[in-house]
Amino acid sequence: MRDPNFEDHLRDTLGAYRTPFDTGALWNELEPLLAEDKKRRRGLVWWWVGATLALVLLAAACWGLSYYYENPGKGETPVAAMRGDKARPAQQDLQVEEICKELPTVVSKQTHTSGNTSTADWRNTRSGASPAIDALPSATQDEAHLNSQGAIDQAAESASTQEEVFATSTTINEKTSSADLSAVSPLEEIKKWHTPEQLATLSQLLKITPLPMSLHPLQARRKTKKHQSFLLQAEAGAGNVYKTLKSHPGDSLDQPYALVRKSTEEPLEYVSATLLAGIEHRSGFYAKAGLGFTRINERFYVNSLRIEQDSISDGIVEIYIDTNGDSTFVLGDVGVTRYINYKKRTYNHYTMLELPVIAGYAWQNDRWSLAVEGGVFVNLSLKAEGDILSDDGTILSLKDDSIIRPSVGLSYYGAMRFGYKLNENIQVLLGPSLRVFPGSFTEKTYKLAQNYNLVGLSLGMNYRF
Amino acid sequence: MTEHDIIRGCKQGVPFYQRALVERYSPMLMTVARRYARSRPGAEDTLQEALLKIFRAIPKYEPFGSFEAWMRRIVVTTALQALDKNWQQRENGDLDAIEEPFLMPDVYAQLGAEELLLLIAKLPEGFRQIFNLHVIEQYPHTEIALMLGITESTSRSQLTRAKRLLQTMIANREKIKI
Repeated sequence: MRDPNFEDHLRDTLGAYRTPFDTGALWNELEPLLAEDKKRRRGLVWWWVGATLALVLLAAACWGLSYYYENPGKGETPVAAMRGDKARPAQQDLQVEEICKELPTVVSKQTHTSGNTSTADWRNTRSGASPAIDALPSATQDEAHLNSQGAIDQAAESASTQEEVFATSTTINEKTSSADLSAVSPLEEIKKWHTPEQLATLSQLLKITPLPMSLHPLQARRKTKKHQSFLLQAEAGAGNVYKTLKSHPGDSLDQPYALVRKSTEEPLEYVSATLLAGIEHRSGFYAKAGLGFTRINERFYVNSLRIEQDSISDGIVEIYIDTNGDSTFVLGDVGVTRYINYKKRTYNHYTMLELPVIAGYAWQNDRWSLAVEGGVFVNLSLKAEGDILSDDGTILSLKDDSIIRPSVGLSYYGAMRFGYKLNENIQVLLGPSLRVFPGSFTEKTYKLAQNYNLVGLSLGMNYRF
Repeated sequence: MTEHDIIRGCKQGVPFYQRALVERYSPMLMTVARRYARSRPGAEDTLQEALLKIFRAIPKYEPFGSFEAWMRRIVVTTALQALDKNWQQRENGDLDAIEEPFLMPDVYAQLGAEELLLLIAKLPEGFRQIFNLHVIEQYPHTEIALMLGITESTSRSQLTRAKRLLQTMIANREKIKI
């Protein structure tokens, strides 16, 4: 039932109307609020800048370490670089050069004595009847026999390695004996093919003091690669929320109020996201830390009928009409009964920013893995939005500082993760998680302690390097 | 000082321009706030909160539409949120019995803005919201239903009742003047 004239009149009249009031007083109230707002926002910006910088630095450190271990031969060995010992590569080269000088003599004697040396011959050195040792210079023979259960035994643990040593030695010998040294470059050949064990064997045979295994670049690289890898992980989760409302320790429980709260609040779900960086040992143990975000959602619902008595002032109470037909109005308060159906539905949110510190163990089987992990989440901030009922039936805002704590302290975390490797570096993770908040979300001064447990599923991605 | 100067100054957070915005636009915004609030102090609170929101949001403001309309919308949203913090009430019962009075056009044409604001303030909470949103702000019922969390038919029926009630109140005032 539209009366266009009535509506247009209202719109025009009110649209053009400017309520006269003291704008100066309003500005005086606004100015400090704006200044405070500006200060708070600036603080928040710095906080985010700090957090971002910390993450960038962590990522850079991980990347740098990874690059360092992956490329140890750039200029200096990693061990030398770590110890600041610049002479180490030169020492290594000297050792190789000495081996190269001795090799032609040793292998040619060996060839003259026993013809083509076979793997079986080499294995015989363990029983002391080796033509290879016989072929060595006398001093070397003594040394080799003396150490037959020592260095040579140690080197002879791997038959395939020994085969390679002699195969390479023979190759070098053949090439050097054909007076084509410049084309072969035995130094490069040895550098390229010989493992630390092989070099040790050769050094023993040639009576050259071997370079300690730990100083060999290949060994250092292999150890590092096997010992640990770095990982970056992003994970998102969701699940059920289990809430308890009880008394604070030492307080008596206000059971009716707890029941009212339980009947008007329904825990819904939680969502979470974490960004982690960490380190994983080759044994399967790993540790990681980072930043986490968790939001707990609830529904608050109230529905009640209220009857209120009100009155309209300046209502017409009586009308007198005299004999002349003139009317006289008697004005006064007119009673009105209001039947009011009060309904309110609010979605409450508890938002947390956290610092997760997690340790775990992973069993790896080809592409699949199963991990068990646990740790703590250090709560950095807790913010609550929404409403709850007070003990007198009125609605309280959760933004009220006297209800919710600014931080909830530590929470405990446990999870299982099934992993699947997409490639050498990337792994997809899925598994159940449990979070237990031992501390109450509410202040000690509030009547009830409010605790949560979260059970859900998490899906994430791991990047190893 | 042009509107453009004020917007630019406020985007940079310069207090001088912020004050200029308050002085120039707050009387207009106060009228909007008063239409939604039951009382004058309530309207002042709403306006203050809305101005804070305006200053926070102004760095992201893109001058594609009317600046006044943009600010008015923020005030309306703030006013509705402020009402939502209290009980949402939907009156019924006695109000169904209101009959639509017959009003001569010259009767309401004589009503000034202050009188209209006072009459609107006397409307029950839910009626007042829907009446303002539809008649003054010209929001369609579908949008009002979404904003207030009610059905479209509820919005229509409450608007009809609100208009009847307002016209009755205007008619009563006129009778008193006889």
